[in-house]
Amino acid sequence: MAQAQRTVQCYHCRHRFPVGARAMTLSCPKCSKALRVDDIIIKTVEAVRKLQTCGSLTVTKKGRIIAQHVEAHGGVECEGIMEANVLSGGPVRIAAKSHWKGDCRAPSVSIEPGCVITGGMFVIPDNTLGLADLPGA
Amino acid sequence: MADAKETTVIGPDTHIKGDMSFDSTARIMGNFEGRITAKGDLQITDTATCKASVEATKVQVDGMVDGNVTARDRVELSSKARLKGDVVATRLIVAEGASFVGHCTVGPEAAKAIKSAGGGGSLSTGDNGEAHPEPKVVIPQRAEPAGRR
Repeated sequence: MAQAQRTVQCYHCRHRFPVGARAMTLSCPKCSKALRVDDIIIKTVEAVRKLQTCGSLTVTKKGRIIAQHVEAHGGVECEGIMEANVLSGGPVRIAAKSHWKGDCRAPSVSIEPGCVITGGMFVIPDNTLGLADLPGA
Repeated sequence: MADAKETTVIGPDTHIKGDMSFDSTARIMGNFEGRITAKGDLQITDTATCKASVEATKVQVDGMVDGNVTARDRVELSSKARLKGDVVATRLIVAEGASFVGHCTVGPEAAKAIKSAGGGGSLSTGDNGEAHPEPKVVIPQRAEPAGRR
């Protein structure tokens, strides 16, 4: 029986390859670097330099990300606090009571009334990652 | 009706170049180039093309705007909206599918900035949209060990 697969794109070398639908981490067959392909949920404070995944990123109401660079190929949902320059391959949702500080590049964005956005550069739509033509996008 | 709001409509076959100011509500359906100041609401319809800096209490964008948008209350971008320029507003609502390229300042700080700029006065320093400094994300740096060079 064929296993369910999905196509991901390496965030180091941009190589595309199929992976198992339930895979969480693996290494890129081209550049051999480690890849995170799962969906990340941030429930508390996370202060990192880089946060990258081929899946989606969710910041819950009590969650907070402080980072220089955030990359999520499956999209970003922010209900808490985001302090980072974000590059998303999917839709970005900035919820009503959330705070956003930093840039945002995404194919589409949904900003709900009541959120606080501080001086970030927004580029919408943006297909820097070229994920729009990815199967299943 | 007596309670009906007066709305100024710039029709779809109109081309205007220059400055425009409205005391009440305005609806732009044509082409405009210059600067728009409205004390009330401003609606830019899907047939409109504005190459202008816009200031109003509430700005609703359904069409194309190339310029900075300042709203004392809120900016609404519909799914058909195409906005290229900086946004300063107390509230921002963006529908999925809208296009937006520019710096964004939304929230209480933006409201203070609008008030300090003279209650709806332009926050821009020039025509090139360089009003806001580059955003800086503060990252807690790891302290370097003493004695290492």
